[in-house]
Amino acid sequence: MKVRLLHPDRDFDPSAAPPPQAATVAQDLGLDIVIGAMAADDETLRATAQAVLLAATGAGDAQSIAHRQAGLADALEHAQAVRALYALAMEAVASRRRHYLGFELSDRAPSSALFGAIELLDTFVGWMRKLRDLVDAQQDHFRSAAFTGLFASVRENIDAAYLAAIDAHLETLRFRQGVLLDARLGAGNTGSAYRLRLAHAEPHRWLQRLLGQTPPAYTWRLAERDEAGARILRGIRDRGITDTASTLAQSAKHVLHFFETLRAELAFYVGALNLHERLQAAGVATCLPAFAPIGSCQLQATGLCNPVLALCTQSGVVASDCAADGMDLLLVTGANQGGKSTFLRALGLAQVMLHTGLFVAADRYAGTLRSGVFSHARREEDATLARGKFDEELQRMAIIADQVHRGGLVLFNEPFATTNEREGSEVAMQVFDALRERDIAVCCVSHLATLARSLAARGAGDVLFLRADRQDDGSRSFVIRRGEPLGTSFGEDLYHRLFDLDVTSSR
Amino acid sequence: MSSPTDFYSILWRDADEERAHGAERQPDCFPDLRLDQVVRSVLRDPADAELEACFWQPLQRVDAVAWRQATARELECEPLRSAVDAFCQRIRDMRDMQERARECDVAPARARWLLDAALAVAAACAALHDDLQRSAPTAPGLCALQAHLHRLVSSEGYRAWTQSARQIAADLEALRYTVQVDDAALTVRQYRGEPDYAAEIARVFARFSQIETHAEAPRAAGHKRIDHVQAAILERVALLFPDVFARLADFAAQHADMLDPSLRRFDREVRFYRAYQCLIAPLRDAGLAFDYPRLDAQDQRERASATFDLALACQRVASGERMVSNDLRLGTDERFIVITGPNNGGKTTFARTFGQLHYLARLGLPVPGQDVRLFLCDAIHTHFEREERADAAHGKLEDDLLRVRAILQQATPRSVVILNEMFSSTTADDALGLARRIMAQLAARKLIAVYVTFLTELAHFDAHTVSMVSTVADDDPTVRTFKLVRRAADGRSYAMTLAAKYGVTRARLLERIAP
Repeated sequence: MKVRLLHPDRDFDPSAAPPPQAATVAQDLGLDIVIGAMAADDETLRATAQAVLLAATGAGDAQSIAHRQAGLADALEHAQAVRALYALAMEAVASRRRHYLGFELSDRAPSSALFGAIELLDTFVGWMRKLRDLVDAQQDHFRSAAFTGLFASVRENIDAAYLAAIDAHLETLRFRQGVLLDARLGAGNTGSAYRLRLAHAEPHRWLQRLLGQTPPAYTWRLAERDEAGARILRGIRDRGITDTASTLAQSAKHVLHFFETLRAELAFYVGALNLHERLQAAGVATCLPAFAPIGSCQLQATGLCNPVLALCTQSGVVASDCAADGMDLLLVTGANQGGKSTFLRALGLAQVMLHTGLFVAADRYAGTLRSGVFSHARREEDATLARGKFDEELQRMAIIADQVHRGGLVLFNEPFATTNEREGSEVAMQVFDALRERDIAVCCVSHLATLARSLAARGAGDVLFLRADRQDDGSRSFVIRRGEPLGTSFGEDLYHRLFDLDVTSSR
Repeated sequence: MSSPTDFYSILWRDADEERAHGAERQPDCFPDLRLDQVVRSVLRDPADAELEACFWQPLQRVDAVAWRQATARELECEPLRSAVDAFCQRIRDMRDMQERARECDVAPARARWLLDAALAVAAACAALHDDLQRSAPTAPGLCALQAHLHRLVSSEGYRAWTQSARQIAADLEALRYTVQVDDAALTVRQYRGEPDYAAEIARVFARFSQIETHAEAPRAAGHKRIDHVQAAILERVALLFPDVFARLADFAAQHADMLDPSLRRFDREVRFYRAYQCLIAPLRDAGLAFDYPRLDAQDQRERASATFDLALACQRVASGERMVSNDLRLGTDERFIVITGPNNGGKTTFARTFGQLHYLARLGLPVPGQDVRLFLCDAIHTHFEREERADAAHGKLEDDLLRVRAILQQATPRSVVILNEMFSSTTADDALGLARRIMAQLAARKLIAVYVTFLTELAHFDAHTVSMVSTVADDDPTVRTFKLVRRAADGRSYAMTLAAKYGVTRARLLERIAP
């Protein structure tokens, strides 16, 4: 039985290791805030949100993204039904806890493991009936491959006759009349390979006996008070039903796993609904993004804003436009406190949310899938003092170099500023050249004047220069616009704002 | 079965050679060179403990070393390596089954253990024989073993014996029966095709199993010794099939001990090679080289590339750390290596490596390094700094001198002497004066010596002295490389140098990021 709500061709694996860069990128972009908004204090929602967002720092998978976008469109239209399915899956999984002792097999005798599995399957049969009813009621309302596929699989695999057959087997397995095992001679001629057999129905045994045709049979009876013998006898019985107990326990586990997978995959859509509500409340526009395959170089966004900032401030945030088709280097320069980092993170968040199959925070967005998203931002000084700051920056760059490949995107926030300006620019230049030569796109916020000048002097058409705005009165609009780098980052303004009461700030 | 006696041992060419190498205790140099740790690691299987003395008996002749090296080389190669391991495993199995037979008082069960032990021996001999024929060894020790085995397995008695054992085992394995278990009784019958219920259950629930999980199998108690219920079942099975059980009883009564004494000895001794090879296999996998050294009893010129401390390498590779190797060379008329340089830079490790090389070479085993050529010494004398003992009768300086005196009394021109950080408990002037005297005595004997010291003046002691220095990283004087070289290197400029160190220059990045 297939769930396949997140990928068209496979189950979602919530325990898959995230890409190696995931933790760094999540920290630099503030993905925790997005995860929190999706989770709304539900641990399952949190786990799924975390897994899909962290995985999205790896390569964007066009098939899965399209699959999820269509499913998400369905979910936004039928939010109640999706939340009801999720609630059912939650309850089904939770019912396992009542049978906890009967289910954990590893340290139990097979007979009690078998009994536990029977009880648990009994409960699951009830949840399967409810699931089928819910699917029957909703199936006509959904259009996406994700949801129609799930519904079809449920209808195909769960029907009344099948559930009745399971009920019958569960009854047989209670073994009210003894157990028949077959065996062979193993090591030291001790019986081995005990396996459960279904006894032949023999209505005519009395007739055979009458005709003297009974096959030889030798019976051994337990002496009274032979408690050790009784224990051994139970042991033999247990060994005989081991396979069956294991099969049944595995079946119970499979059914449980089905409900767990259903719960985990529905959690993505429920999380997306939660996030959507929160962003709407903050007045942030969202859209399902268009995307070009890995290796293209397309980026057109209007009204792009940083959803993390919106979620934190609970208010509308400044939106910027960005037209960067054909550009593989975006260099953002300009005023201190002018919104450069916010813009860089907005770009990164849009990329990761696109990879996740979510909407993005923009009026319109057409981007490119990347083979991986990486981030190189300023860090606190190494507490252990094992090495200098510049060393540490270089080391993080070296780690990225080992992970990134063709089609990747690297976000730099003030790189190589921990050494002198000229040397830092030289290192940055070499790094950017190498990345772009390997078809890796770079978005960089920088105050390195020599770097900006060298890039501008080359006059290449594939570099987009953006600048944080500054009104003539020194105040900031926080909008990022196209603009060549200037020789100053207006740090003086900041100084004045903080230390000189004569200059009025608009913020 | 007759036992041909032409195959003596896989470690010694004959009884005379073995007698000439008797050793009662561990050589004195073992703790200093950490060879005690190495041997403990080699013999970590308690069953191999009796091999310890073999490691205390270094060979005295070049041709004896060559004889062992030939055997060791071929034992490293497939299919012989696996063949020998399989042989030893089967012999272990045989011992295990014989032990079970001794413990068992239920006749049909005891007889089966003896039958299975016989089959293990037969399988061990036949497989080793076939594998030796196929790999056609050239080492004299292995050739003798091959001839011995060939005579054994071709004999008429051996054939008849194995055939009858196999037939009885096959007949027993073919028996099938059912046991009906009720609350207080069981009934044994022949199997009559009753269907498998576990398979039926698996089929019913198959539609959920497209989702992959890893269910653990429930625990089912296994019984090592046959209990009275199993014995009762077995006795009833024997009643169901009387003919097979009668033949089994006959076989067990007639064939008690089955392993030829020469093979019994081979099984024990071949572990000397295999246990050592198992120790070094993970090091080789980690990229460290081993070589069979060329030994010479006259020529004191030596060389080894990429050699290393075996004890340290075992630790570092086990914990996934990188191991630094070093080169070593003693040219014509060079006999004295003086090692100086920063602390913790690998000086002591190098001295230890030097001693280990000479010792392991004399065991006929592969040694750390490539292209290794060594002098066959008669003994290795070491003096490594020891913890001062509170109850020592002498002061530390006096103790140092006493120990060195003992070494000087024993050392011959064919010895190797390794001295590590002596005389640290006196002034530098005193230490220098004492060291020069000791070195003069060693030089007079024309023996090979290694001296680790903080006294840089000793690096130019005489024309036979080679100076080696532990080094630091070119770009960062705080980083030790654990490389020992004959001369130091110099530094470079800062930012791009650091970028180069981390491999983030344009050129290095283009190499790192695949196109």
